[in-house]
Amino acid sequence: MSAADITRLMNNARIRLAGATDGLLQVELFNVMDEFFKTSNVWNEDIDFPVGASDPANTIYEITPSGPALINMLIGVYIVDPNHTTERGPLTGAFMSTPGEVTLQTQPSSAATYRASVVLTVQDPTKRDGYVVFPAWVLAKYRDVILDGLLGNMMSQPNKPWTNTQLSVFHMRKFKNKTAAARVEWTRNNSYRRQAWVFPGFARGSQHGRRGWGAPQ
Amino acid sequence: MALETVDKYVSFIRELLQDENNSPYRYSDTSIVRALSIAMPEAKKLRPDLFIGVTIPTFTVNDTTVVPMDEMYRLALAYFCVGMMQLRDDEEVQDQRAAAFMQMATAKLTQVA
Repeated sequence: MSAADITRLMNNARIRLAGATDGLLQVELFNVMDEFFKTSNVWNEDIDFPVGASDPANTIYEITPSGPALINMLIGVYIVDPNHTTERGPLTGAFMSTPGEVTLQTQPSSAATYRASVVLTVQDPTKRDGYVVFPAWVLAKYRDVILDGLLGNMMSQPNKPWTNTQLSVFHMRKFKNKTAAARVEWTRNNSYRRQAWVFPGFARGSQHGRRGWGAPQ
Repeated sequence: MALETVDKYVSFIRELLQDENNSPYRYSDTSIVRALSIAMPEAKKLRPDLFIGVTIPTFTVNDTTVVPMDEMYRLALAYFCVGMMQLRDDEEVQDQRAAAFMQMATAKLTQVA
């Protein structure tokens, strides 16, 4: 997150929540971001992992995000073409019963690199100053959603100077609606008027047979 | 900044108690510091968020030990201590005044005013 963005968010929250401490705002910000990411799925990452030719069926492959984040869901697993490593390649069957542990539906006959596309959510540790870690663009794009979630959560706390049940319901309703809208935007790759469907794998993701389409499916 | 340390609390509480002349004091340092120690868990009961990552200290002497309290809520601790002092059986003190300070301490922690 950029310092200016988080400062703006905190200042907006402070002036609406008289008496709230920064420590508590940081605790609730973690809760808000966790709910936002789990509901909207907007935070994704592609994680490569090697698959051996002689790996037995049901081998568990551990995948780990590059930063402090928790894997929430598996979007898909792709077989990376060694000649086009920047692309995802064809989709293959896989499961993730436990977050971070991928099992393939069928094992390959030769060694290959697979690419798991996953949905992430926030995880401890937070930064040294107490703020939860997540991509800067999320706060820049969804600052109003996050503020509504923060205000709604804070105002729902009992017996605090900033407790306000009516406004809590108001802000939480806005948060839920905007989070649902963010999820729809994610399914359409943040593209205006784009269809939610894509060409299937054999067409390599587009009508023209190009590769490299990197979107949720 | 006011009310960061135990000695500043004791000094401020003595002002409110009108007990600033040491000849000797009506309320001892020990009893005021003890009230401050009692005030901390009472505040935590009402506002646990103020003590995130903080171990509640026990104060024993009137010194420059830091009192870990957000600056917005320090007055509540002082009011609680004044109330505690005036709960004592003392001809100078009325029960209503003690109750008023205890209520003000609670209000400071749970209301904007």
